[in-house]
Amino acid sequence: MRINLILLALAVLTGCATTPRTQIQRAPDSVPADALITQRGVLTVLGRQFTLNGYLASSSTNGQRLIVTENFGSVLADVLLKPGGKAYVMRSSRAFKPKWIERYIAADMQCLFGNSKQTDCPGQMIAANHFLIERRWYKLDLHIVEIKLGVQPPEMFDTTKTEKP
Amino acid sequence: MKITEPISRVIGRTDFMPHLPSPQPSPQRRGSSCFRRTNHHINRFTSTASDQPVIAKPCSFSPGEKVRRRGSAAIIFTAALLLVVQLQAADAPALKPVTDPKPILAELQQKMSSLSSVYLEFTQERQLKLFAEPLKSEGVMMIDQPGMIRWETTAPFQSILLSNQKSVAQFEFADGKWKKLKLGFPQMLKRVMDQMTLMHQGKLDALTSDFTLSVSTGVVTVVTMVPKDENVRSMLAALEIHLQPDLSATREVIMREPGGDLTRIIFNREKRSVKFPEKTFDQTKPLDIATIKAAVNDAH
Repeated sequence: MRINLILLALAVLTGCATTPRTQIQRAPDSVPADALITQRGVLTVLGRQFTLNGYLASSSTNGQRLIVTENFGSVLADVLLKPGGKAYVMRSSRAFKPKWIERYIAADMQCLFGNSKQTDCPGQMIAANHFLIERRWYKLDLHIVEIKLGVQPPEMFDTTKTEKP
Repeated sequence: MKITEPISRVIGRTDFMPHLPSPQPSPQRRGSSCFRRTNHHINRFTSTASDQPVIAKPCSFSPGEKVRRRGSAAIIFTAALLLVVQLQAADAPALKPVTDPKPILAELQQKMSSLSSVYLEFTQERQLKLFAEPLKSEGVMMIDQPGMIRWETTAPFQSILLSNQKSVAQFEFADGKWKKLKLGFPQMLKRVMDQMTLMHQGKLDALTSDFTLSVSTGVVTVVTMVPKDENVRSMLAALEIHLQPDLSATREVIMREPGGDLTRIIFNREKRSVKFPEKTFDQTKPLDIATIKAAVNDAH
């Protein structure tokens, strides 16, 4: 009995042996350096699903800017990721608070499109244009639906041009 | 004529310059070999091969002359600017606000109430200040009695929103199959869909509890709806429905946001009193759009 309790305590303290979470493996050059990438995502939070549109302007020199909208076009989140990896929340909403955007949306951007090495990218790359991000609080099923190659306007990557939520 | 070119290019075009005064060379400079503003210079865009301005050397002007020349340049620029503004103003649809919108709204409702259904193909343009070009998507909207609506995006992704008097459903097409979503906040989505149905049925008076309505008439008839709720207004400044002057068709819907961004839904093709095939509005397994389009096209 005592041995069982000790084993149980050990298991609790050390953690159960579970399968390690799979990480998204992406080739560094899998995203075009200068492009506008349109995405469609289904976000699952607490079993409920929400559809989102993402517009990512990617620049080889200035960073990346992602604008997330809902079905009818309202902007829910706007985040700028500088080449060094620093995230700037340019616009937030009632649906996505600044902290959430910084902590999760920017992190997911780094995982899927970023250049700096993001180590915590739980999920799978199902196809070259299809990703599944699986974090504790949510799941994001994301499809890249359109890529328009071309240099993006430099103003898009200006950190001073933030809008109030 | 719509002017979208930069002003520098517009000014440089002769078709916008006919009324501009030609600056005369100053008497003391007449005959000198330095480069001057002459008629040759002004007319360089219409000049023939033999009509070349002679540019010998740069002029050196006295300070007073510099001021006068800067003044002339400013006048030319202002005149050109005014001309452009006038052209734009002439081009913009001249709309006149209606003092009492009730009769027009009643007429709209009366016209639309005779319709049993409507089929609309649309292009949605999301105009964000940040992007040089609008973000476009395409789709189809279908409305049928009683209170059924199907809003389907067909490109660049595929998605169906369905609503009836009782419930709302959404389907996403991915990896070769349609998937029904477990919707978050279905009541909110249903409310939006209900409002869209009411708008397209001309039942705008039913929306007066949520919106302040005004009407302008002219080349088009525009019904402007401003949300009464401050929270809603912080996201949607106004919603405009642009109709044919005789209210026979909806041309576009514009959703304006407080910061200047907007969403424009342009209706390209409209068919009224259409008989939709069965399961068009089915919330379990909706009929595919290709079959619906074929049925709608065959019917007319």
